[in-house]
Amino acid sequence: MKRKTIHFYAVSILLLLLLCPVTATAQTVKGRVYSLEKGKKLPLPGASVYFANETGGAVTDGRGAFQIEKQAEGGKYLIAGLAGFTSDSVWVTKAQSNLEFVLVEDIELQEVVISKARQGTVLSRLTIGKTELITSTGMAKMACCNLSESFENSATVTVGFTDAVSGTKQVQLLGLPGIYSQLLAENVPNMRGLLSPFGWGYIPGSWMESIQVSKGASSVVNGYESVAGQINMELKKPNYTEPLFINAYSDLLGRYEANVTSATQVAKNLWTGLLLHGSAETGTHDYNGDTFSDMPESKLVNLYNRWFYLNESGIQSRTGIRFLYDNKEGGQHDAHFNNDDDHNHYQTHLNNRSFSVENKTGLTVGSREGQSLGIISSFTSSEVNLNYGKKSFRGTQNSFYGNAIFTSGFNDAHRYTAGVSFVYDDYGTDFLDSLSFNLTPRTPLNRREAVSGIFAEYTFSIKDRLDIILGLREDYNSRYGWLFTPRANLRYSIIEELVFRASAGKGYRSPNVIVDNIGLLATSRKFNLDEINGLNIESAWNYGGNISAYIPVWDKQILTISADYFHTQFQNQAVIDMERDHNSVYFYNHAGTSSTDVWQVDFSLTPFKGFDLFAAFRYNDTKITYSAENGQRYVMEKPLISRYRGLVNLAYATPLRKWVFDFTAQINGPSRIPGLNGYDSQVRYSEQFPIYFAQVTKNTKRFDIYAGSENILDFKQTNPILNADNPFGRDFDSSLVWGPVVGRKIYAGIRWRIGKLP
Amino acid sequence: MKMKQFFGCLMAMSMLVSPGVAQDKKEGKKKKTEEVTFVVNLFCEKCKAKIERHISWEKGVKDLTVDLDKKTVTIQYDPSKTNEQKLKEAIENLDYTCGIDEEID
Repeated sequence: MKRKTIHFYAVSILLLLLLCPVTATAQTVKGRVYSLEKGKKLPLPGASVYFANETGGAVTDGRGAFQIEKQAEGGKYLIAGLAGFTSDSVWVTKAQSNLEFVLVEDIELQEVVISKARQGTVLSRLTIGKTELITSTGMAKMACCNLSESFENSATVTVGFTDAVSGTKQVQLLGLPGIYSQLLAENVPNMRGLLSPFGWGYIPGSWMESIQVSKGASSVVNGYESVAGQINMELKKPNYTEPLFINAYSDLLGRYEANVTSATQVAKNLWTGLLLHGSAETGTHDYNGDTFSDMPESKLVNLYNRWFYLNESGIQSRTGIRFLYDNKEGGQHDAHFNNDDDHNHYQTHLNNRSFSVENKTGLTVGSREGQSLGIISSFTSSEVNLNYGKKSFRGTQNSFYGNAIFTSGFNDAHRYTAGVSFVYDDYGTDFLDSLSFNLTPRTPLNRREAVSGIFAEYTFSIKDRLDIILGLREDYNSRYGWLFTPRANLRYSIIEELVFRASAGKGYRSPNVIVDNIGLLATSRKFNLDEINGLNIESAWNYGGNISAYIPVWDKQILTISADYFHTQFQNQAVIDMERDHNSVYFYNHAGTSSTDVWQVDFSLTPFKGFDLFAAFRYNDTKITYSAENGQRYVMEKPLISRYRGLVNLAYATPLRKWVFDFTAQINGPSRIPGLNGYDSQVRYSEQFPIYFAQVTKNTKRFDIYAGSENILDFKQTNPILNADNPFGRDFDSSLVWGPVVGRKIYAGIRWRIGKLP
Repeated sequence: MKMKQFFGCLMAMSMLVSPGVAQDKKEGKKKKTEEVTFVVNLFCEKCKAKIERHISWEKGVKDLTVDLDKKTVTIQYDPSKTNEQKLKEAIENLDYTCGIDEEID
């Protein structure tokens, strides 16, 4: 039916071919165009090569080769380009026979291959470890103000409040608090130490391109931290986003948020981007009538300036400068009090600040294909100030992280990575409790760690069939001594439709028990600090396996079923004992067992174009051993860890995603509530509760408008605060939170892209 | 009790979604659309995303499928608003080479 167009096309090509040889003064320029992928030079077919201001041009063949005639006399720029790559040019004066172009992709390819970018959550078939990828489409399904909220429709990660007053959210992965997962921003460790319990709220949703959640033992390259898994986020790249992006959001509970991201090319090889976030919670509502604000008033400012340098010889360098300011004021609602009885007025005040600079530089080394050297360095200075009623925790942290990674291989099947790292952490913290029955004077808790490490990782691959990664690292920690970290991953594709994965490995983490359990500050419990300085580094083994099946069903659709099991066994854990006495909390090195077993099944299917269905169920079985003063041991379920979670997400998009409808239903299982009568208290469980989410999005080329609701049925934990009427009494406790503290949220927002779209 | 409510809500939601879908299909048949498949020099996910990001919003485009393995872009369009030549130009404006897939013809 399209004869005319074909003719047009054929004639144009003929003309092009004819034109070249007729020019008498033509000089022939021959050469090849390559692409640079993970440091490897690969021939690039289909690239166009042409002289500036001249008509005609050439297209590279299957081997990346081209031949072009230079018509005019004198020097001219020869340009090679292809969509998706940064064009390059060379000054040419005469005939040449082996000109070489190496084009670099507009952005580095992510390690995870996005197989179906439009589904929100993708279980990647190709990654070696079990990886769940949350794409920007997935993040757009919800209000997603920050990283922690991005997991609201994931079964892998649970999000919850740490206490009922401070508004701080914490995630759980594999039945363990988020502090046991290593958080990476573009494979650089992020939000370590004092910021780790807060960090999940400090990464704005609209800064992120995608999130990869890897459960279980992961690579040793990024250090010995990471017990339960790794969460890596890719942030917006200055060289591959729209010049200006604006997001504004507001909800009926009084939250306002604005995000602006910009990207500019400042020179041939240099790009810069600015990521800005500002948000405020202004509603001091108290819908449950316990005199406490359900959410604190807060202000969060987050600035990030990124620089990206790239040149043809394969040097890439990223630099970032980040500043963060967080202020939250909560507690008892002013409306219930006169100004003069401030004394009995319970208030919380959180003030955190952080400044960081980081650089990541990669270059190809030597002539061997795929050989490269990467150097990462970052410096962070953070300050945490927490004043909860009459308890106060202050802390500063200065940290340096340096890592040099050399990657090479013998051939495609055998590759290796080796390197050295150095981490320095200096913590200056103190704790004060002026409650009359506790009276803990300001007690300094300082700690310094210098960690030098070497590591090596070997990868054996049989293309698309088998991958084995063996990693080893040995670190010397100035405080905790030698730490040996072995890890292994296996991926075996039995047939294309069936993939089996297994992993095993060790991880460590040095605890900051007070800030890690910030919810405890919002109680009247007495902190027994004696053993804090004697706490060992936490260490644990993690073993796991996964089977993913990709079953073809009707009409070329694929049903994905994935099942996994992970076991974490602590060798040492800093036990936070709230069970011994309901007016105290004890911190000590664990004895006995502490473990979690997690089973999860995921189903995903696109029954017809535009409609995606995702369902998942996870079951946790956790154990922890508490030791009484007399040495007797009590094995219990870990407190406030939901036993199971079920989730169904239905998404329907009209053609071209002009309208998108999302609905998520979650069912959250009961969790054990810490006993109030010592170790022999009767075991109590919270109720199971469902949460529903819905959102409608209207997309256009430049604007997306979205509106939705979270917690549609307005479910709230009843009485999240014990003894709210007497916050300075012995039995006040707001840390026993297992469900939502705030109820239904109705929100709307807009995303606006300005300038040339990438 | 809670479980019942949970499944009840799920059912209700699926029902809400399905009539919308059925209606949509009907509309699609009523309107006159034509289909064209172009062979485009695509080779990565980013190219696919770029095509989707730009071509979806071209005038008259009703639906779009990018097949990376076959390197094809299939477009359903409203012939009263656009034509093959315009669509081809739109793809070429993104610096791709574009030809009509003869096999499919």
